[in-house]
Amino acid sequence: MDRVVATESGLLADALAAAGHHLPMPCRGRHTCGKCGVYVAGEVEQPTPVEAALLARTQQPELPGYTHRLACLARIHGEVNAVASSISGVAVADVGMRLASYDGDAPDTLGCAIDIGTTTVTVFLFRLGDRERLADVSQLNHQAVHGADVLSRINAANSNGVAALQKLIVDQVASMLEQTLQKAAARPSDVTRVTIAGNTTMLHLLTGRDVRSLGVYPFTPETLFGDTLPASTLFQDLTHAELYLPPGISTYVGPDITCGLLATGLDGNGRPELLVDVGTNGEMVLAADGLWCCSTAAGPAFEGAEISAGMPALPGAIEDVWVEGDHLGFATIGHKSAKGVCGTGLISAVDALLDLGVIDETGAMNTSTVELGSSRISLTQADVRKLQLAKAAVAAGLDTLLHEAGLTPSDLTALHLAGGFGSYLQPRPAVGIGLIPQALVDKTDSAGNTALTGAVLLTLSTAARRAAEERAAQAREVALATHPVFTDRYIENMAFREESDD
Amino acid sequence: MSILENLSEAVQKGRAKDVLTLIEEGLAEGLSAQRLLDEGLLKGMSLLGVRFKNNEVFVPEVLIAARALNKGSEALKAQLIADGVEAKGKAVIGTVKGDLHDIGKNLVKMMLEGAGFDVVDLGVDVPDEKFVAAIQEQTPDVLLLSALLTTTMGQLGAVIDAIKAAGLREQVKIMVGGAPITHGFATEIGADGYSPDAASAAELATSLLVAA
Repeated sequence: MDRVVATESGLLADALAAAGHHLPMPCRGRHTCGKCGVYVAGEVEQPTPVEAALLARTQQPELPGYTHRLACLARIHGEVNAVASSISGVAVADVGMRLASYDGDAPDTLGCAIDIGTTTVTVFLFRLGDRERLADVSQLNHQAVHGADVLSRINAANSNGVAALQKLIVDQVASMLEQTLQKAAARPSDVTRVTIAGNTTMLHLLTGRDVRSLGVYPFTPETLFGDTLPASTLFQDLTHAELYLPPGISTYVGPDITCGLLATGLDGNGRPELLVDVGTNGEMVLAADGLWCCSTAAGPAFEGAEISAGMPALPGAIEDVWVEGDHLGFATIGHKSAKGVCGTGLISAVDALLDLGVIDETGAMNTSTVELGSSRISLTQADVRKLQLAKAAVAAGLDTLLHEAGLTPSDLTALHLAGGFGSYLQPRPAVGIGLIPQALVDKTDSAGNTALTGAVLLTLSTAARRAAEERAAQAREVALATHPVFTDRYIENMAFREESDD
Repeated sequence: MSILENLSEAVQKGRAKDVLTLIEEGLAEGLSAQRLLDEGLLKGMSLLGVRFKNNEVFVPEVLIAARALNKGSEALKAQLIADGVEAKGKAVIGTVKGDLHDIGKNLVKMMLEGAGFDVVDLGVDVPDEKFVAAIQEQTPDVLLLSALLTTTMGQLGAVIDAIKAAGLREQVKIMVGGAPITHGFATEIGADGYSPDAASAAELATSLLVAA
């Protein structure tokens, strides 16, 4: 629980930021996603119609004594008590409800939930008794010096030895653990439970396993995890903790995706829903009468790599482009002057250029380069072609899973977009370029870092482990490379839109 | 421009909708389905193949064009059958063991289908014995083997050896293809033909039939 004080009238988000609390804001404060929910009590103005409409859509559970508000819209005057209602984008109350179904034990000690992403590493420290988050630290993965994607890490491990990459990540996590413990004024020996989520390669490197076979066909892992071991085997200060590494489904649908299933509540005997984690690889799981999953090689276009003016989603990256009359408007992250374009910017730019007729349905541009508004940043024909390949791979993967389950897009009740890129993806331009089906435009939500949220659940409740193991065992991998439907759909999805009649 | 030229142009641009309209117009004007196929659709694909070889267009453009070609040849299928045009021949195609690449193979498959072949696709990572079994069961006129890696190109020779060992080599023409393959390599391992791209693969397959 955090108390924030605003002496002047101001936005709740600004007051929280001033107090050092940076909420995840998937739509970056544009009042479209409804994800920056906070429970507040105190001097808060009544919701505007825009906020009321967004709140009605999110249907947050009640917290006695508090009202649920959106930090990007709610204005406050004086002293306000605020309780964040989300853990990395997923509602705390939601997590609470899911936890209740696991009847977890809760000793009065500490637990750590860690996500080792290929790009970002995050450590959350919890008090297990009341499940309060005491501290968190997030950093770029130090292995990034060896390349941005999984394959370049595997290559680095092959040439420099696994031990070198293992040392980088173990040292980093150890230092991040130390920082969170310091923030919470706690000792390493207070920690009794640690969960580390990550993709198969990240966890192989963490545990010092051979990764050579992960890089070549048939991509055999040494293990798919699902192990419990003394945390001290990796982190010598954690003398009293057990470390849980969640089970993966296959080499390229790893423990991070199993965690995603827990985070989104997907199981194989409920409503048809889809979880899509888009990055360099697009991993997806379709839950219906069973769990089907696959991984598609989208390539680095969504991360801004291999695009002529591409850059990661950092300040100065064009993150959104739209049609204003007969030209283009654009927005950059942090409102800085434009330095390049990131994945969401690329998608919205191509969508806008399709609307303007600068790009046709086949991906052909009627000019060699086009400037995005007055940004001095341009897209080329080759950039458009790279996006075309990436989006076709993801869309075809999705089509193939639906085919396996005997469903159509309109049968799905929800599409959860996860991961660093996926969480920020706006449904409309994604539909506009044919990345996701039209039928899902109003059923799409950004689920945040679901690997981390799943790790939180697994830390707070050992009973959640059984659910993770059951789901990992239940899920069936659909091998796309040999699937005739995938091949057909890949070529079919190469076009951006259905051709118009002109 | 004539309808045939327009059709060729529409395939090269990947404009599937235009392709379908032009085919309708062509048939209405009395052009035969065979001519629309050969001098329109396949001509366009083959011209694009040349531009691909010259690095003027890249894989997405070729895939977009193949998509339009596919729709066009589907639309012509009924008329071709009604005209009594028979399948040119039967082909079996696959990517060899250890290799998962399929885009090139799929393009060749589409080109063959477009050219009037009946094609059986064995997929990727196909073991040698599966190729042998397919020759026995399907009795194809042509077998097309694909390998995209320097580490798997050796497998092409292994498949041909397995076919020889099964006593089936004389029954089928064998074509090989893939980025690392050269004409010299194809001759060395005892293949009947090699083609550097998808468009010429269909032409080569047709000429091998005539030679047989």
